[in-house]
Amino acid sequence: MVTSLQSGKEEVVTVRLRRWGLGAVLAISTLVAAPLATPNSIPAAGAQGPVTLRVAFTTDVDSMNPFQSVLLVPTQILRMMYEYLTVASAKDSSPEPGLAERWETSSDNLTWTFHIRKGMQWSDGQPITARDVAFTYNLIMTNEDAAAANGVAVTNYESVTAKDDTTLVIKTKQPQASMLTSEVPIVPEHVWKDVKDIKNFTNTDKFPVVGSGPFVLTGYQEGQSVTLEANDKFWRGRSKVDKLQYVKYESTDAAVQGLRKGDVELVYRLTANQYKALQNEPNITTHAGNNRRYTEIIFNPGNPKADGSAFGNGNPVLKDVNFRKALAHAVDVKTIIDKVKQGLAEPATQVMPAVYPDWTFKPSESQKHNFDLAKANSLLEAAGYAKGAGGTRTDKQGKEINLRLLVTSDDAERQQIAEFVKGWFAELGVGVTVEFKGSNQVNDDTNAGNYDMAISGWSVSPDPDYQLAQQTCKVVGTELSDSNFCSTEYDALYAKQQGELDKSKRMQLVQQAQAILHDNVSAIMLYYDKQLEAYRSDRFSSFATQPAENGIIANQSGYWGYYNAVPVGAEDTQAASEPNSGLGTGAVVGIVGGAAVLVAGAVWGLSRRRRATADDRE
Amino acid sequence: MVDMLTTTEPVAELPGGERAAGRVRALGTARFVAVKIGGGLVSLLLVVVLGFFLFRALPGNPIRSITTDSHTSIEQIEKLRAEWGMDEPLPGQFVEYLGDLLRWDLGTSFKYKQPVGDLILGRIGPTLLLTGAALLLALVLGLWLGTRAAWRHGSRFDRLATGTSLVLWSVPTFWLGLIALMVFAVALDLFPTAGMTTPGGVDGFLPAVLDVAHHLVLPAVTLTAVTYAQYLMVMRSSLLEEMNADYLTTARAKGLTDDQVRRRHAVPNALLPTVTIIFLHTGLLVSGAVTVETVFSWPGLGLLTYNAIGFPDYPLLQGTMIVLAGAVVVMNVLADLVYRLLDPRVRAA
Amino acid sequence: MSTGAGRIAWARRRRAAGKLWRDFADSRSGLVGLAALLGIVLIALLAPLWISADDLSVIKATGGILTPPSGEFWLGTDHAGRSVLDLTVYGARVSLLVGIAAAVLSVGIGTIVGMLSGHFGRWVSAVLMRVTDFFLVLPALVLAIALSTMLERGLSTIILAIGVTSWPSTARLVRAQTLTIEARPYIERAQALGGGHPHILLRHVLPAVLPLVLANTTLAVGSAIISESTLAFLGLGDPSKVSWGLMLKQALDTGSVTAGAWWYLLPPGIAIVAVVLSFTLCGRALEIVVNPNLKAGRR
Repeated sequence: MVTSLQSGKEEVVTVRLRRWGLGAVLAISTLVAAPLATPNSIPAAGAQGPVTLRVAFTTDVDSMNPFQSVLLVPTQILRMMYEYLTVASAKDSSPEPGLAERWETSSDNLTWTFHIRKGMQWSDGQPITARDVAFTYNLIMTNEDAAAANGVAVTNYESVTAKDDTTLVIKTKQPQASMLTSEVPIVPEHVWKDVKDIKNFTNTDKFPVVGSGPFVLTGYQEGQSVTLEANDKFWRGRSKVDKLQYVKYESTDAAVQGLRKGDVELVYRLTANQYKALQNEPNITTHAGNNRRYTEIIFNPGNPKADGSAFGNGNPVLKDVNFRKALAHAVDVKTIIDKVKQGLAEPATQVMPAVYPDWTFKPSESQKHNFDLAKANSLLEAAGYAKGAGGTRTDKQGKEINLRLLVTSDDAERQQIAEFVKGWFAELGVGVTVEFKGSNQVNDDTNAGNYDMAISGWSVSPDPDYQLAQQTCKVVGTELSDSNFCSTEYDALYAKQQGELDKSKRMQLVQQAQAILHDNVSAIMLYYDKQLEAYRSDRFSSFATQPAENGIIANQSGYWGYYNAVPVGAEDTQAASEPNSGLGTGAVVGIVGGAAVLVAGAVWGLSRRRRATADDRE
Repeated sequence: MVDMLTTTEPVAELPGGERAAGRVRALGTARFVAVKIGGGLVSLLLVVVLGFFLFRALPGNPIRSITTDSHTSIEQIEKLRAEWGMDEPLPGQFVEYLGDLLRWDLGTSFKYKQPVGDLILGRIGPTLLLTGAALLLALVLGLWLGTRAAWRHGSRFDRLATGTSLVLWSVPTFWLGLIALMVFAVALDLFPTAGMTTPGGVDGFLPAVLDVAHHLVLPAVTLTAVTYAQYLMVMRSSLLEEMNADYLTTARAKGLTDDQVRRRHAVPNALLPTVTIIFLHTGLLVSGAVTVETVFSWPGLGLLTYNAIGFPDYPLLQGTMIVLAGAVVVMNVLADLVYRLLDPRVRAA
Repeated sequence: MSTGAGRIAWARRRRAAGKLWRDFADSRSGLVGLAALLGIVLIALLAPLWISADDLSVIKATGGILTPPSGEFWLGTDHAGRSVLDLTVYGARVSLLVGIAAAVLSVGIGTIVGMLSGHFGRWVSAVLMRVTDFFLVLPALVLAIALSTMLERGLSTIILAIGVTSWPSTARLVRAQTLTIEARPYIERAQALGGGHPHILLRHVLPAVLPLVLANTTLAVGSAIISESTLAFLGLGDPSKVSWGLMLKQALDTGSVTAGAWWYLLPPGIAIVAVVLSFTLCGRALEIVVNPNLKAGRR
């Protein structure tokens, strides 16, 4: 490097070993290490500690306030803390008793009477009554800040009153079919009546937080972890899991490393590669559950907003349903599932996933848009899109058709899907330009209608109402629309199912509504994801899934997965091994190593000082 | 981003060059300090303005971020838009923001629904701990190796120390961190895989301190590994320059041992540019730690900022921007002051 | 200026360049870095000769998913069954392109700002240095992230994001250098002879700061390449252009760490280290050769 510049003397200074210095380092290292031995000592075999289930998550926690929290993981945690009036069953997500043990409706379908189970208690021992429920609903209905998270559930409510401790009456403005699936955490009146500023209340300043669910919140470390402990007073009984912790990881890959090491017991949202890699590992069980999520390619159908204003710059050919149908026939979902998802997904039919057997769309064989390039080509010919000189089809004005396909840039799977689609559409003579953008930009562009096609997807709740509402004309061009689809016929069916309290009739309406989406090719439905999960089988022998058959453990519409987790050896009350408090033998080596470096530096510096003064005295 | 590795004297000292130097020397210390602080304040003011408008130009819509995970109605969206002031024209929003800022109110985070100031305060500790530890390690390592390398310049030790530091400096931080995670946390099982503490915390003061220390090792060492080369290089080259200075020959002629010459004369003088560079880099380190924080899930300020961009959480972004830039401003002013304090040429004036 | 004088000036510059090279060649590590760089650039330029678009296509790949190195795939395959060797070689093109372009942009801005503020003094200098100070205190990574989310995905965005956030240090360096040069007597002479601002800046100052700028650019390329990989790691790259940063990002996203696919994780990382190190070695050698400050210090 600077070899050529140095003309001065080469000073070779030998590093003199200062024995006493080294000795000091060793002595101090031992001192540092000594206290480590105490927390580090591993409990003797057979010793019983609390059963801890640590779940890794990679997204954010916004708030522990049930009236404010809107993100996925915190709302999941709130499910553990507060029971609902009715809950989605583990079996098939259909409504079953929660705080209410039974209910009935008036003949005009406008008045619902819920009977609250007797003898239930909040975690602090106070009784749970209908008045708590009424308090909660009324708070949401009257206080804007309390409506932030669950306001949507009460928009159709006229009044909510507690007739007595066990009878709750809800009057609605219109008949509401989705009544039993409104997931509103019920809070204790005796605690929350004193909360003056709902908006800025964190709900984490006093532990344990009084609740009614299977677990109570006992600790909250912002950006790191959330700790809950089993609720003795939970009306279904205490969970076998004593302590439930949510541990934040920034990436799934890091979380998997934590699982391997035993820092966490459950990891979900694995990629196919992670899932396959973990399949052969000792002490780890992998699990592929049918998820309540669909992935699709949406079109820009060029519909105007609710106020009639046109928006966006979609290619007009996409207004033609025959054109969209031809494209749907040109997408080979099976190849996508095999190649991109490595077989870990199911073909999608419509917006209601197969995990909701009552609501999912069941097309007839003739209705299906099977992969058939010849048919797709003939459809395009018939619709009048002839091939131009270069082999590219032209629209009615003679312009070559080239469609933009919007894809989020940080998703390797969707990138692959886009390349496949581009290849298939090329065989139809339809050009595709894949545009990679950040997920926010993709959302902005689809909201603004500045796209032709985009790869999109949604997670779906047990009740079809919300998902179907996303396809109505009213929401076109807003943050709520799925594909900017609009059809008056569809809207009529949607409105009808909304007030249809007879389940079998409602199921028919939902089928018909989805048939309209299907026949109009509102989107090319790709697949229903499987949620890939893995857990420590040396600590937990099983988890409850939702749906019971091939369902998911994490991200359920309920608390079943963790609440009903069975620790290894739980039958004979032997608790699972206590998770290591974080200081293994390795820790000692690590810290001592680090400390030794620092101490060595300090000692060296000090020794120089001493020598210096000694020299000076000479 | 990554600093450039340069051995050139940092130019953030006094306005460089002969022409300006005379003028500056004439300035009184008080005036000098005032000028420096004034300049810093101007920068901060610009940061406030830029932070406001830049982040509002970000793609994405905080409302959409809310509707993806939870059920919302059109009416609610309108309400949120009003509450977040998004239905007002930008200039009006900006004036309101400035007013709040003057009252030390950084606003309320869209995402966390908490005062931005509180959120930042909660994250500043972890960030300072991580960057502070890394800085300390990098300094000790860099200065010590740099001094040795310069003194035994051209030797095998020099080549080895410089070479190693340069190789480590060339490694992308996140990649090194990831490999460290795989090797030391998973394969060798020496350290935890994420976070700053054991989930839920540890009882007792000493165990808690040790717990944090245990979590700190990998991220701090990773950050150290990729940064210490800067200090090594600066120390080495400035010491090399000092070593041929006449006064050292004088000192040797006086009969001082080599060790004494180095310790008492060469090193203190060579420290001058190094100290300046330390201050300049410290400010940047805070925001530069984001990749390490990502890999090791360290709950720091950089990560908070990065995650806020995805929302996008305007008030939080504006707040962190001010704090991150403020750190650099403070450090730059300190660098100038320290330089003035240490540089005999300036002191003499 | 007469042609004769021009010729003399050119001859002088040629001589200076020759001396520069000889000085540079004195540094062994600089030569090693240069040789490595030339090799890598050559491979990157020739890559299209044996790597076709199909080899890089995520849907036409022939290999299995994440298979370890074999006779057919020397460095194994990635999550889509593509050859990691091909990707690494091809990735050099984007990484080098982004690195060099961003460095040139950054140093370009820095040089212009630095020269102008050094030359004009007074309020021009004050304003420019204020702007420079402002950019210096901005959290560069945050700014780069914001810029790259705001603009359309693509290489130009990444180049811009890195370029506009990393120029201030160059500006300060060039400014100091400009001040030093303009204090020399021959500049005063040129001014006295009626040389205008463009003349002095282009004919005298620029040639004098150029070696320093060159060294600076070389060093800047290394940090720009690391910056590119960082942005890609944070999910802000262009997924249709294979770069080393993108490879690492996709390796992580698709779970290669878990799968233990070291053949997918190591090559791009090592490639980054190799290139950045080469640029740094060259840059340092150049810096020592050309930096008058350093030279002066050594007497």
